[in-house]
Amino acid sequence: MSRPRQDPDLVRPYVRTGGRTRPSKDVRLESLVFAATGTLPGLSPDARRVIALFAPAQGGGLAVADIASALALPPSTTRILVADLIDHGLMTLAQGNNVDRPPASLLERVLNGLRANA
Amino acid sequence: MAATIITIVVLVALTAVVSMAAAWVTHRRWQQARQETHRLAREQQATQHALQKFVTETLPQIHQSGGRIAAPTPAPELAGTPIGEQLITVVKGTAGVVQAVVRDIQFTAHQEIEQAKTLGAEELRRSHTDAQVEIARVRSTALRSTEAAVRSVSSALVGMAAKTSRKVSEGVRAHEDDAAFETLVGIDHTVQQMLLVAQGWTVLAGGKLTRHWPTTPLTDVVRAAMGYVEDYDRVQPQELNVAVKTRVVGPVVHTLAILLDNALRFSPPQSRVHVAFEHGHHGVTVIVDDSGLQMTPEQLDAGRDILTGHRTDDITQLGARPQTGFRVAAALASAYGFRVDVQAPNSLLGTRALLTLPEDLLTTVPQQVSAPSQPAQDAPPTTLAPTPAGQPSALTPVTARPLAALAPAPAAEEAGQERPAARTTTVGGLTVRHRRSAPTPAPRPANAEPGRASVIAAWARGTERARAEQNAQLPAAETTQGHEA
Repeated sequence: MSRPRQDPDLVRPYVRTGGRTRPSKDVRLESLVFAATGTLPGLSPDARRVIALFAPAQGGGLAVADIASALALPPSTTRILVADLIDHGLMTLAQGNNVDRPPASLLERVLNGLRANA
Repeated sequence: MAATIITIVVLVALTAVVSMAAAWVTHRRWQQARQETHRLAREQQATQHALQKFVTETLPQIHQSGGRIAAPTPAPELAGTPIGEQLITVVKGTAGVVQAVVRDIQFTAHQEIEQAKTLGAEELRRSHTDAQVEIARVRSTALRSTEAAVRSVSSALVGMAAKTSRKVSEGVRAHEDDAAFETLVGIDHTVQQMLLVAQGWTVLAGGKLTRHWPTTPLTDVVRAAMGYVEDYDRVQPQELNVAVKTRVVGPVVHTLAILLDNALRFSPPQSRVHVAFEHGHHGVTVIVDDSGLQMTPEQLDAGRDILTGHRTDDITQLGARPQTGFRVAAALASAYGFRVDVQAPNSLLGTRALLTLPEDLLTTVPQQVSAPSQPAQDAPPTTLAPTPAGQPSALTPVTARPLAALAPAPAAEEAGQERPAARTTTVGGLTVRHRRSAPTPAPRPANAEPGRASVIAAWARGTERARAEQNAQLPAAETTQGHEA
């Protein structure tokens, strides 16, 4: 058999989420989250990896999309993991991220600028 | 004259006497001759009789009895006569000759029978051998064609299931809404179980596992194995940051999945199955404990016989309800150099399965503690060949590597593997955002940094996706996903 492209998920998404398919909270890809310092015993390896991403951020926040991208995890998996961490009190969701959303037209222009740079 | 007369008278008298005497003698001789004639006549008659008896009785008797007759008694008339003696001699001689002939014939016949027997036995042996050879040939042909048939079916299934699995992996990245995720994950769980079955039959049919994985820590090996089984949420895994070398990741994951599947199947549905590690001198043993029915001593012996390779049934000998699990585990273990064993009872009074990985199949965990299980998104080159120095890969041991922040990392996935070494604001190029409501509105210098390549890439991906979805809908950028960072 000719070698096809690699399946990125040796560990399947349902194992990572313990079978859950929806986040317990309204966590979106564009949501900004902040990590509390410290950790809990019994955290899953993936949850620890998410927390570890914040170590160099010095209290700053990360977008859920960035977390997914950094850990090469599917977006839904990441949202479920982040929602779990919020439930555990290890992460907080930035307030009002829906209100502060910039208008689409602005984003469009930003995107075009980025494309011009790329 | 007188004297003469007297003399004459005397002479006459004498003559008469002599004549008388002569006549008596003659008579007597005649009588004797007559008697002799009578005797001879009787003898001749007896001889004739005896000869007739010899011809009509004795000879057929000799003929019938094969020469075995009692010595005949001669007729009383011939007793003691030479003819009688000779007749007896003739009878004895004839009987002797006949006996000799019979013996001769018997001997020849015996020899011929023996020869025929030998030939027959040889013939029989030859046909037996021929039959054996033929049976062996037919058996091996049957085995080969069975294996080929099973292998072709299972390989095709593995190929299709692996492709589906890959598509699901792409799908869960392409779609972020919960309903799509739920559907894809449901499909995926079935596909993974299908892969386990199909891969198992491929191994049983003498094939190899065709999917290759990068070096993977045991923590994720266990979680990968959980993905193959039905009730994975009952598995209570431990973690261990020792990695399994790329060559054996697939086989170890498959074997562990078989052990987990067994443990889950044979234990109550509400009970847990525990996975633990024992890092000893010779390597790492993965211990799978269930609290179900413990295997009986007979089952344990039978299981061990299979697992240790003492009993190897080929694919045509598995019977109507084939029990493939242990056979697949045994085949993989012997092909890749690890060991599988079962014990009972364990501390939970259930059964314990052990998978022992010798040190030469293990290595240090690539990259950071609790490394991602998919250290190489574009993994085929890294799993197939040692990567050149400088290119971060799952196989490269943990050494000094370029910092993520400095590396021209075009792919977000790759950046994700990098040790979060950048002291500033990013983890592998992530942009750190701060609360707008933070008391100090002045942004940190870090915030002012433009997004890294990964972010741009992520953004571009997001917009592309959004655009694709938008095409059918609104021309305006009023979508819920992708556009907002």
